[in-house]
Amino acid sequence: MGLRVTKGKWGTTQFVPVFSLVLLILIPFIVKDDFLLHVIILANCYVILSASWDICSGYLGEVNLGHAAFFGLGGYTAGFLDQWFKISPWMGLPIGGGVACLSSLAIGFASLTFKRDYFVIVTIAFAQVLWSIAITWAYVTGGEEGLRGIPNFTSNLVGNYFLALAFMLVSILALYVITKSRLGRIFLAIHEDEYASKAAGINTSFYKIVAFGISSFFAGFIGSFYAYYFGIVTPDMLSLTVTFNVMAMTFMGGSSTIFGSIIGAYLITFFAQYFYFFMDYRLIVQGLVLLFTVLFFPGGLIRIIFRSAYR
Amino acid sequence: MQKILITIVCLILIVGSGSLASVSAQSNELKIGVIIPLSGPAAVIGHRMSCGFKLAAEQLNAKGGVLGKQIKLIEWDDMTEPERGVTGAKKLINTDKVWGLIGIFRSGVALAVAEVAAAEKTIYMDTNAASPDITALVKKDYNKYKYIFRNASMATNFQQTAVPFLTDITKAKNYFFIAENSKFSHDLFKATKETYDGLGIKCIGEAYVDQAASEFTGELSRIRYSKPDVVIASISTVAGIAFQKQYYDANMRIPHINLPSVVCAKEVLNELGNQGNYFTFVPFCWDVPITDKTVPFYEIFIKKFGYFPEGYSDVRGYDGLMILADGIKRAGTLEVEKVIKELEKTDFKGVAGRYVFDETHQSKWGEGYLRNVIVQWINGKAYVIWPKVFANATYIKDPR
Amino acid sequence: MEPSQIIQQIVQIVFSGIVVGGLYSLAAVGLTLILGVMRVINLAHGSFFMLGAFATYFALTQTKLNPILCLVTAVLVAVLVVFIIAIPIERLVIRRAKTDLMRVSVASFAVAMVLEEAVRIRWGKIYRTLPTYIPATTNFYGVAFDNQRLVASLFSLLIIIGLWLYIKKARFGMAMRMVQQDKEMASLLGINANLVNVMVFGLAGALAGAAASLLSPLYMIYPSMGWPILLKSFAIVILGGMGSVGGTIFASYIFGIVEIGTAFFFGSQWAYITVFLIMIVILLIRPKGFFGKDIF
Repeated sequence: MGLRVTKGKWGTTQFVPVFSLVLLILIPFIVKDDFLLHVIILANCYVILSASWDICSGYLGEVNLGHAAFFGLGGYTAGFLDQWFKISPWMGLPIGGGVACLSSLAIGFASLTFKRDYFVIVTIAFAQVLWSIAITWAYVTGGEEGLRGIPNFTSNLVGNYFLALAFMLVSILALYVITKSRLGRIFLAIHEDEYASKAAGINTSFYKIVAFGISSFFAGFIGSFYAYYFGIVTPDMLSLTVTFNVMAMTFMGGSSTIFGSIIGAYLITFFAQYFYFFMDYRLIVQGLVLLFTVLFFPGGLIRIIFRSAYR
Repeated sequence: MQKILITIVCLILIVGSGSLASVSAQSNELKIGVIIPLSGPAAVIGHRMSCGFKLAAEQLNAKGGVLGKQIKLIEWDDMTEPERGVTGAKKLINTDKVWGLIGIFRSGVALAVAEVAAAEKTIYMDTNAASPDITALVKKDYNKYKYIFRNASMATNFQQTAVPFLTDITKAKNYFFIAENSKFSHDLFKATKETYDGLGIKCIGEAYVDQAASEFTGELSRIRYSKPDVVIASISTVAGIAFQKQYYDANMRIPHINLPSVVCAKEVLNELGNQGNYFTFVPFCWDVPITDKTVPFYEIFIKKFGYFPEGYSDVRGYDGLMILADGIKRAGTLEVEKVIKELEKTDFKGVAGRYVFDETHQSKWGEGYLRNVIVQWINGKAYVIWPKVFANATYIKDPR
Repeated sequence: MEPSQIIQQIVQIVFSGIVVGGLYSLAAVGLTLILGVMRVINLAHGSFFMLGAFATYFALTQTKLNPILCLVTAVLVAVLVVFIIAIPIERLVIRRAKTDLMRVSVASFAVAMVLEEAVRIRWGKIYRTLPTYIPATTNFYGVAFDNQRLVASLFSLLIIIGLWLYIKKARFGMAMRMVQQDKEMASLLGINANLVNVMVFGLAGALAGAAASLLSPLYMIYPSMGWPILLKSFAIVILGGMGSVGGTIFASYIFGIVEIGTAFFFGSQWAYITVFLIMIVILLIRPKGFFGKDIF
């Protein structure tokens, strides 16, 4: 299910990523469109969210329907760090990731050590509880208005643009390396046949928690970045909508492939922001396209475009 | 090879669609960006706001536009999410090159967009979002946030709408407050308590319900047991409809006054049928001659859009665009700084009342400025019961 | 409050909770059947509920019937409409996607999205609501019930009892139980698992529709109304033990009482959080819910 790169051949598999990367780097200098840069920053954030979701829900196979919870935890952590401790954004990023990761370890320990089906529901419940708390405990979280005045890394949009791009590349690389490592192979093995893995001596509960932790760390990390970039955090970051969007992106791009997230995230983000001709119909078009993909292209777009590289 | 070509074409299309939009700009148009919820739970409200803006633009354009330019409204669906609001603001300002922003329902979105507007030095007229924090920004840093104006009313004004009901109509000595769980409601309650404490009316209970709540048996029991003189209800989300139904069915026999919510619109009350009987609410505008523009507005609006204006989202939207146009006309130029100076001097007679901005760019509230009426709904008809100058009936308690 | 008032209050809460729980049970049981028999997460369950509500709305606003007839009509219409819509969805979408948990989650979510948006575009411009068709309240030693709720709850109880008997006694019910317990064995015995799956899916949808027809006149009708119901149903299913119909029924009553009780004592903002927290706690200490094994 992984990416096979044939050495020496200059085909689609090599050309498209390189071309896209070069394009992304050059865009701020070619096009003077702040909106486009903003959308690409958003897309990069969702790439990380999507790829991190994929590691747990796609590779490992434990569908996590509460991914937004960790995204939001990262965001609110950034907000709290700024409000109470005035910690710089650079420190805030890993702390946000850390907080999300620790929470996921707690939840994971509680739910991944049991029968599989519970994990899905526990994650939804967790996200919902956090969302409710964010709205109810307005004194601390600012309620539905959230926290404001969070400083950003730089007020220069192009600076933020390259920062987001860098984070995206680093995260994708890191996640890819993980999937190619022994850890990744264990996740796949557990996905294929949990009982056989257990029989082979793998502590499946432990590795499930690890996958979940990795997934949540990246979500929290980019959640913090999101907070610093927008300058605000609201309970929307914790909503089911975010999780569903991420789910759609991962799936459309191609689940169990890290690079598929790039395609899915960019596609859906651009579609959501640019398809304003029939704004009323945007969501139903999105839904129908997703349905179509689920039925006829369950492997996602990446397996179609890069057919030679993926089985 | 085909795949590469397809990819390149797609990329160019995506990038190009963004840049193309700005190329087609015409110089004899005044573009205003409208940020409203067009999908999601608040779509009904966004639709009303849109109607208000459209009517105002139409009327202004018919009279030759503003400074000779025809107004062009560009709508953006913010889905009540701050992220989309910010993205929309950026798109409207950078790609569509709008001159100003108007609208926004949810305060969270408005606060986020305010930051963008301030950074881009673009005027934003808030016609709906009610958080005090929005105009507090103007006070906090005038030079940065002077671009923000609000012709909508604040949470602190919202609760003053009910005061005459308690003091004059029912002569209540205490009240029970119930609202949906949101920061807005908590701000509202704080302001409510302050006002009534000053008037010697006690609060004997408060309750907050989930925004999508549908079960109120618990709350209704609590209310019944505390035996208040009046219930002040401010459940502004869809939960308000269920609450009214259950309140009516439970035969509470306690007068209740409803602060602005989705229930406070004729279509919804008609839908409720019997269960809307004796419902008392505080619309910010009604087809009574609040100003000489009010009644004609209602006639035109009903004819054009087919529904009776809810009185806030639509009316304030209409007035907001009119105020903006008026400010530009008086400044005689589109230079933002000069328009801001003129807007600050606004003394405009709109449909809902008289608009004058205070030093935080908030439209003033009170006698002679903006107020509300109190309306009671009985058997499918609306009776204005306050203020006396417009009243055509008196308050009738639920006789069951 | 004096002691007698407190007791009266608690009685009120318990009874109201049971009444409301009975209504939730229909939706929750549908979900538990899907989880148990088909082993599928159906994120479109809330949309079926929403469709049932809209079907009820249009059925009742077009006709003027006496109260009891209204109730029956509403339920029948909702059940029929949702059943008819659910069958092709199962056949076309779920069956293909069943191979993989993620695929079926995304598939059911896509279905939910399309259904919700379609309804919103066509009928979503105003908020709708139905008047109660059985007005007035009965007072029973100081405990008040609305008649509408009472009748609806009794009706849901009838449906549940009917369902229970059907599952236990009827051939199809037994087929369902077999497929849940051991799919391979069931097909060896000649049971058409595909047919069972389609019927279960349709049945679950129909139950959601019935729940909607009984509940929606108490609440309001709008395209996104399904999501809170979906989440509550999930919570109930976890509490009762997935796949266990008896457990789910029991859990819905408990759920109803907890929801109303928390609303009374702490405010309904906490009810939502409390319910999910209880769910998480239950999963920690007794992951199989109230009823240990998968029993019907």
